[in-house]
Amino acid sequence: MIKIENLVKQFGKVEVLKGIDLEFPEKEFINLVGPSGCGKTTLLRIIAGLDDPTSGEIYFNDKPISGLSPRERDIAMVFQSYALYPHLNVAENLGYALKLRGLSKADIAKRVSEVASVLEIEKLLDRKPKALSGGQRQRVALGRAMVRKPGLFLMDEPLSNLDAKLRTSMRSELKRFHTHLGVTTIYVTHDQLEAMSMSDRIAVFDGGVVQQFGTPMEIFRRPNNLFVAEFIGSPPMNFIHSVEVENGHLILKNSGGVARRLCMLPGVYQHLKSGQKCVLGVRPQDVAVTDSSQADLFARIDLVQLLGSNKLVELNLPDREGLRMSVEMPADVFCDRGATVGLNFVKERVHLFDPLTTTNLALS
Amino acid sequence: MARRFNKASLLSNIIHFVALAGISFLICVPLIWALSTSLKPKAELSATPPTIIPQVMTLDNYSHLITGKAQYFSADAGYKANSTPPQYFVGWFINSLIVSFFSTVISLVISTLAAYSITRFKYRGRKIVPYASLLGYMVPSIILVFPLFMIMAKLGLTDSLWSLVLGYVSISLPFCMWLLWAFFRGIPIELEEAAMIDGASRIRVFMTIILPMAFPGIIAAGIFSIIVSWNDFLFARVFMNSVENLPLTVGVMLFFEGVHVDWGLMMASAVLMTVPMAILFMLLQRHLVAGFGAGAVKG
Repeated sequence: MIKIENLVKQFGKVEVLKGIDLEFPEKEFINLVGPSGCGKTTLLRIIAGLDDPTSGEIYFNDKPISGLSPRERDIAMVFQSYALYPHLNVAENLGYALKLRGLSKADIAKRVSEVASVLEIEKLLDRKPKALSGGQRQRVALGRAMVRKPGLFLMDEPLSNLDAKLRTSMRSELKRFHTHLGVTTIYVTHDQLEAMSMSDRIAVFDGGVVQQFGTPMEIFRRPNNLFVAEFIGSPPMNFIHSVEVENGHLILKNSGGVARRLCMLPGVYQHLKSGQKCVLGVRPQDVAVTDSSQADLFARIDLVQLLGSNKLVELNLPDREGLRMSVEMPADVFCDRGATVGLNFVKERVHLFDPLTTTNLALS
Repeated sequence: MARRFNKASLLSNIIHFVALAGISFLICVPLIWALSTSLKPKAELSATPPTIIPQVMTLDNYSHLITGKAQYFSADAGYKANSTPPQYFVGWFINSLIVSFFSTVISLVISTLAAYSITRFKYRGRKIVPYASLLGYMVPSIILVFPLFMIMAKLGLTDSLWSLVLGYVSISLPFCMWLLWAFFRGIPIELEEAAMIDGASRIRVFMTIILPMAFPGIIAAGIFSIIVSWNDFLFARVFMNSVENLPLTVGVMLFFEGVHVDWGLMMASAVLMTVPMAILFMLLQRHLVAGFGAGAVKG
């Protein structure tokens, strides 16, 4: 188990990590996700021992690790750039750590060939890194981490240099390796899809603060605040600002001050009083298009993007200037650009946020 | 059409080839002339018209230099039999080797460590050191030689090979350091971090990752340093006094004995001076190939 306690990191006057508290359970695949510059890579480097925290402590199985050098921490790391040793061939790259540990040549060769066969890179063992493709380098980098049988895997955006197709297949492969090895893995990415699809648990970072830590489903279904709601999920969540609560309903006023009832308050928001202002968030998948006159909102179709089995429809709301929404629906539903349609929100999937503090107004 | 095009390209190839061969020949003329002269017997040296390929080949000049045999007046009472230049040739050669070897080793050790420190550790002033050192290299050595001589005199090192070693280090070190600094900057820091996580100590990382990767740079710096010390004339002329302590460059000057110049010996010395360098360069050339670090990072 890894416990991070009130960790602060400053570079000069800039505070990159502002008091991080996290606990990673044993054997889980943990994802640190956030936009660039949010501090996620810094945290990973501090866990690795490549950077020192300004204050705070990290515990591996209740033992504090500050002051330990990287090699004393029993970790392996996969770098975004792979960092393969260019003057060594693949076998030597894989065996470097074992050689440093004083293993015999025969043992090293055995472990290297084991890992090489798992990763299907046996044929590349004699090659230098420059003679490998991006995907092959990625595997070697992964192999170099696996060969050590470390207590903790650290991965810093290992897939970001691969093309989209390879990334998808490596994603499932990484996940499979994790299940197979059963080693706690901390994985840094800015790609929320990677985070959602691979992790047991996600920590969403922004501005040096953990915005939310939970399972992918918790984060997707009940985002803590506007940032998490906006960052997680693709296509991104729709937001309607200046929505008000009125007698157990949500209302939206147009520029002329005319109010329109949107929908009933969802269950978790029943405690909200009339007059409460909020930001309504709803995912494109949680809006249904209808031609009934009883719809929550009416909107004009502006753009239709075919995604394959689904299509993404972008709409303008005529009586609310500048407000746009996107809706995902099955590809075979007929809709024309310029047509006006009704929109119904899936009530229990509507999120309400405080416009000032940006936190989710749901009862916790 | 195709045939005409081929003819045109053949013609252009021929022109290029002839032009390049001509330029190469012009560059090689002094070397060829030196080699030819060194292989001629004395009688043929001043033959008119001059011969490029000696009519009579002889290795006399070389054997005289290597065995140190006094060539002229060896039985003559008016000349001291043991003071003709060829007798010192082997000694001078060894002096040059010693001085070049030590100044190069010292320059490389210091500049490698210095460059590593400047690129990897953070301390005050580390950013100006490479530029300041390059500036130091730009000062002509004629300006440095007298202050250096005063220092050597104070240290009691004049007329010792150590004065030359230190003098050459002072010339080559700044440039070597600047060169290696540029080289080390290009080595991604992730490689070191990866090695440290793999379990290497910093010194181990330096020895097993950094040095092998910087090898072409170290070779280039080494070649530069060897050239500086092997070819120097000025420092040796000023610092050294006794005949037996001279390096080759200054020693060979003694072949100008008054009005008499033994061109055969002189050119044989020139060839013997050039050959070790030429062999060294040929051996090291393949290590100089750039792009050594390609493929280290990125897909």
